[in-house]
Amino acid sequence: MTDRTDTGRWRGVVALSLFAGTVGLLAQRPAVLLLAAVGAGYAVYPRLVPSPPEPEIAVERTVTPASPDPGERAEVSVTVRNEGDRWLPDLRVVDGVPALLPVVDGTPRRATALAPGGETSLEYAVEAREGKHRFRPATVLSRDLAGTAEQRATAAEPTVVDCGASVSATALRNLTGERAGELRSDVGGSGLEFHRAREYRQGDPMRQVDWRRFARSGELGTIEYAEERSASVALCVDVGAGGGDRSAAAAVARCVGAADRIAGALVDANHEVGLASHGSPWYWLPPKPGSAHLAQLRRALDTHPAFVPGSTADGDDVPDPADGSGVPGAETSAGGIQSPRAEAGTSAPGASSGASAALSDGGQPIEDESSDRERGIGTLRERLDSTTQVLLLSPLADDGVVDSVRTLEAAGNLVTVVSPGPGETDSVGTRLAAVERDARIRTLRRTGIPVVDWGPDENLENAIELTTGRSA
Amino acid sequence: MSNATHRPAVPGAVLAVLSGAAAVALLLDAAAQWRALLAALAGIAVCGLGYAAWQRSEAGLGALVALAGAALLAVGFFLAATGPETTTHRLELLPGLLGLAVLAAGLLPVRAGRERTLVTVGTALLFVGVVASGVFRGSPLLALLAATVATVVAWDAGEQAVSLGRQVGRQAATARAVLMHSGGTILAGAVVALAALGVYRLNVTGLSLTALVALLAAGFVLILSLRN
Repeated sequence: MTDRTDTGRWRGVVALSLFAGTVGLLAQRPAVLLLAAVGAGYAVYPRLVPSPPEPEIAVERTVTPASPDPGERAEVSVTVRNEGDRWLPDLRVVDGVPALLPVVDGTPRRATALAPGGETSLEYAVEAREGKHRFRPATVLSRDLAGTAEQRATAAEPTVVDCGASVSATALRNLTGERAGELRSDVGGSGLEFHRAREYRQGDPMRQVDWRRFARSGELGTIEYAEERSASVALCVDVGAGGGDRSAAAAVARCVGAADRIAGALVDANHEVGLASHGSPWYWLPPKPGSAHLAQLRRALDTHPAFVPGSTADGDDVPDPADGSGVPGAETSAGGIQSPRAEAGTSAPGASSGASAALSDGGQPIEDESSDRERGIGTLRERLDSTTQVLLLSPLADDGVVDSVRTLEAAGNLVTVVSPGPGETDSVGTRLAAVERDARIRTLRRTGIPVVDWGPDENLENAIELTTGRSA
Repeated sequence: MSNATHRPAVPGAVLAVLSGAAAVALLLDAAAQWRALLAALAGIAVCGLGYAAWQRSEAGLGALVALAGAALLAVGFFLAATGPETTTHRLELLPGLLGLAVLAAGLLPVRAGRERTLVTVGTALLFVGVVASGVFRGSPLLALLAATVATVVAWDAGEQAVSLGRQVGRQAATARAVLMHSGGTILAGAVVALAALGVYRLNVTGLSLTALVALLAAGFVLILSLRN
C-alpha cells in the first residue's frame, strides 16, 4: 500500500556552496567563503532528520445525511488520526470523493502536521446525485521534516452515499404481479390476508374455523386467507455498457441505487431476491428471502468492484490517480459470490485481469466486451430457476442488452427492464444516444417486455407505477 | 472534480516572500535602500491582493489592483536604482529586489507551470545580492550568514508551497505543515550558522586563504561522498 519516493529537493543546495566558495575565493573575502558552510550544512541536513515511518493513519468519515435526496447538500466530515508513535511533520490528505459527486463547499484536501495520536478533520460538502456512490480510500502523503522522502499510502474507510427516494413494495407488487400472477394470488388458502368467509366443509383445518361465528350463531364457518406465494426475482444490474465516461458512470450509479431500493422493497414483501451483474466483472448472488440475505446483497452493492460507478472517471483529482485496484475489494469475500470464470478455469485470455479494467477504463475492444456479456448472460441463465423473474436495470446504452433480454425471455424467465434515462442531452452525441435508447425501449415493448423509463429527475416509484398502469 | 486550483499554497508563499525580504533587509544600512525595499514589498503585496480578487472572478478590479501593485514595484526599483548615494549600495540592493520580484512572480504564479523555475531563479538572485553585499561592502559575517539562511528558507518555503499547491490545492489549509517544515529548516540553518560563526571565532580567517579553501574543499568532498 505504501511506496516511498525521494524528492531530491535539497540536491541543488550544493550549488549555493560552490557559488559562495568561488566568489569568496576570487574576491579574497573569507566571510563570503564561509557562506559555503551554509550550503554544506543544508546538504547534510536531510540526512540527519528521521525519515518518516509508514504513516499509520486511521480515517473516519461521516456523511450527513447518509441518504440525501438528489440535489441536496451532504456534509462530509473526515477525521484523520495519527495512530503511530512518531510525528508526521508534513502530512497531506486527499479524500477519495466519489467521482460523480461535485464538491460544493470547502475542500477535501488538507496538509498538516500530526503529533502521535493527534488528529485533524476535514469538512466539506458535496451535492448529492441520484444513485449509490462509494467513497474511494483517502490518499495520504507523508513527508519527512526536510521533505526529502515522501511516503504514499491509502487509508480506507468504506462509506457509501445512497441517494434517492425509497420504493414501496406496492409499486413493485404491481410491476411483478402484472406478468407473473404469482404474488398475492386470488386463490383462497392459508395466507395471512383475509380473503373470504364461507361455509365449513369437511376437512377444513381447525385454525381456520371462524369460532366467533360459531359462538354467535352455532354455525361452523371457515375463513380463507389469501394465499401468498413469494416470487423469486433476480436483480440484474447492467454495469458494462458504454465505456467509462461520466454519464455511463452516473447511469450505473442510478442503477445500483435503484437495485438497492427495489431489493429492500421486495424483501419487505417477503420475496426472494438475487443479484447479478450484467457485464464484467461478473457477480452472482442466488435469490433468497430474509433480511440477512438483504444485508449481504446490499454489502455486495456497496463494496463489490462490479458496482462501482466511475471508479477512475476522475483520476486527475488525486495527486496521482488512485488506480481502481485500490478499492477495498477484499471485503467482498462474503459467501455467495461465485465467479463463472474462476470455475471455468479462465477460458478467455485476460478475462480475469480485465475484470475490473473493463469497467474502469473502457478501453477493452467492443467485441471482447459483448462476448463477455453474452457469456455472462449464458451463465446467468444456467443459474436461474425457471420460475425466477429477472428485473434488469440498464441504461439501455447498446443493442447487446436487448439481445440479453431476448435470450432470457426465450429461456422462459420473465424480464422487466428498469432503465434510467440519460441526464443531459446537450450534444449531438448524447441526443443520438437518447434516440437510439428510445428505439430500444420501443423494440422491447413491442415484444411485450415492460420497460420502466425512469427519467433523470423522476421518482422511481412513480415511474414504475406509470409503466405498470400503462401496460395494464 | 473539486474545483481546487493547483496554485502555490498561500501560507508557504507568504512565508517565502517574507523570508526573501528578510534576506535583503538584513544587509541594508542606508535609509534610501529601506525606502526602495518597502516600496517593492508593498508593490508585491498589492499585486497579491489583485491576484486574489482576480481569482474570485472579479477580473476588472483584480487587474486594476495588480496594475497599481506593479506600479509600486516599479517605484521600488526606481528608488533602488537612483536613491542610494554609492554604487555599492545599489549593487547589493538591485539583485535582491529583482530576486524578490521573481520569487513573488513564481508564487502568485504569473505563469503556471513555471513556478519552480521562477522560485529557483528568484532565490538565486537573492543570494547573488547577499554575496555582492559581502564582496563589495564587507558586511559582518553574522548578517551574511543570517541572510544566507533566510535565502535558503525562502527557497525551501517556496518549493514547498508549490508542491503543496500541486497536491492539495490552494483552498486547502496548509499552515500547520508549512510551520512545521519551515521551522525545521530555520532551526537547521541556525545550527549551521552558529557552527560557522564558531569556526570564524576560532580565527580560521587568520589562516591563509588557500588553507581555508583546502579545508572547505575537503569538507565538500566528504559531504558529496556521504550523499551518494
